[in-house]
Amino acid sequence: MLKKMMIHGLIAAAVIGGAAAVYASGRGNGDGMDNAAPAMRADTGNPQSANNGYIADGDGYTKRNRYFWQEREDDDERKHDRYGEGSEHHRKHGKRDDD
Amino acid sequence: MTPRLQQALLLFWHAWLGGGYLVAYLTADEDTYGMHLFAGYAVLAAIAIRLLAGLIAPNSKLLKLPHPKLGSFGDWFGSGKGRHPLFAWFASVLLIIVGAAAATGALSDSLMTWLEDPHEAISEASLWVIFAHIAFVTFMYGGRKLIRQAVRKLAERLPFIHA
Repeated sequence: MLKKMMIHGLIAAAVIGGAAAVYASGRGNGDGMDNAAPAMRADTGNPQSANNGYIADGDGYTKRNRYFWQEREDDDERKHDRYGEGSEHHRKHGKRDDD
Repeated sequence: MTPRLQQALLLFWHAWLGGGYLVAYLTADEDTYGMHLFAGYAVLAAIAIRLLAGLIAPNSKLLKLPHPKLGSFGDWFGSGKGRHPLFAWFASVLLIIVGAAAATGALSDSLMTWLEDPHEAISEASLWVIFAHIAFVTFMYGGRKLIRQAVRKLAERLPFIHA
């Protein structure tokens, strides 16, 4: 009888565990399913949609689309394009104080 | 409802509660929070259904809620007959402590987040009550006989007892 009850308990644990796993995967660890599609596009490596501003978390951990130093480099580059020599701003205003 | 069906329902409920508790305890980590939540609500539902069944069928031999009495210990040890009073005590304590663990877990998830630490403490305590319950039931339904046999065999093999 005891052995039977133990086996019943373990079967129930397997059933509840399976249902809980399905529930947890649907729940997406509290993030909901709103970002699922953009994240999936980012995972496939589509260059047009990878840098869409969403954080891709398809495998259960956060994947970065870019690192903080890359962001900084991009910003510097953008600044240079906007204010550097040969830019429209440089032609209009000449040399800036901080150049 | 026939006693046989009642017993089958009780066994199903016991498996549900035990299985749910096992999953909830093993998935208490933050990485498996979704599973922990599901299993915890399964345990809470099992406790609620048991209480409801006990209230609906108070005269049923199997489904009625346990009524432990302090005086029953004296009676049982005096006569040695009938059901051991610890069965009723364990059933009551388990219903209370596992129910409290599940209820505090459900409340700390939504309404009262400050209940998270009490939930953990009650859950840890409930595990030890469950271990004690398993040890007691194993002893009563098989362990006692095994221990008696082991003592008898040991006594036969030890030479100084025969001398």
